[in-house]
Amino acid sequence: MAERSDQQISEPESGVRPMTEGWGPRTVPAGTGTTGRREFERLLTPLLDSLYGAALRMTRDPSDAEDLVQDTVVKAYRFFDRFQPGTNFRAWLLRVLTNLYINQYRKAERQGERVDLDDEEDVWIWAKVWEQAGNNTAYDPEKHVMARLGQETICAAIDALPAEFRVVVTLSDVEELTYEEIAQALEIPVGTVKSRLYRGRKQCQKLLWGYMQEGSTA
Amino acid sequence: VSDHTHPDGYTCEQAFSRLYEYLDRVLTPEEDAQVRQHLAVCEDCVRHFQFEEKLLDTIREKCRTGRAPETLRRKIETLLDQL
Repeated sequence: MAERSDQQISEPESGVRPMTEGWGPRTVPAGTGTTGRREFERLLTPLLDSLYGAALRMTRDPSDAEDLVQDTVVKAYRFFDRFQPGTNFRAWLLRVLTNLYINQYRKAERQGERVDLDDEEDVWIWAKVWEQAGNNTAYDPEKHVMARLGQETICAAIDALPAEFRVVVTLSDVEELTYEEIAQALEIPVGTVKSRLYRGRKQCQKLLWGYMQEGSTA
Repeated sequence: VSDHTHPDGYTCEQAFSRLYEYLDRVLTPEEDAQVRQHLAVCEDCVRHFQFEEKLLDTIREKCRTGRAPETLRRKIETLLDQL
């Protein structure tokens, strides 16, 4: 099995520092010139769908998601001179967005979310579908499972994840950031990214399997 | 997941323990080669790995279809004009 972490997970973001730390005060207002603003807009515009999608998965609320994207744009513009041209602007923006989410929105959310460690029974959809299929060797699990996983079902499963897993699963499995980029966005070690992602994906499978059994939102 | 050892000296369980790191392409070249060698001789694991990869692809595809609302786009335009 992949690595499991025994870290305290009820206060996952306690080690996160404001992203301004280490960036230093801005000495030259490079981002405020017309050229800087145009360049910022040129880079930003094609990424708005992605930013909004990530914000929606994190906040789970369309109105909060819009606010988060706007705050991200303002902050990213303010620190635009810190962005290294030629590097991944989308990953950089998502880092700003994630940091804002954790430090502002996440704190404002209710703190009741906890992961019940006793409830981490393994549910692998692959194993479950074969249990149900019995000896039917002609059974095609991909065809049967994927057809039942609609957008609503999948989004509901991600939304049901505790925040510390939801953020990592969103950044990895929806936004396709690397472990390294996620580690930077969350200011946590790569090993912690890996263990949260593993547990988040596993919980996601368990939720999806549950929804499929209910035959609900699919 | 069966637990028998294949001719490559690698069990299905060992391969499965590296499933996500394999799919996420973060294994070292040596580890990656071990998993590949196992997949070359184990049809069951190939099918399982393909299923998990397809599941991740499905999650990504379904979650990425959303577009930013027009209201937000307009707000951002206004915001940028004020910056």
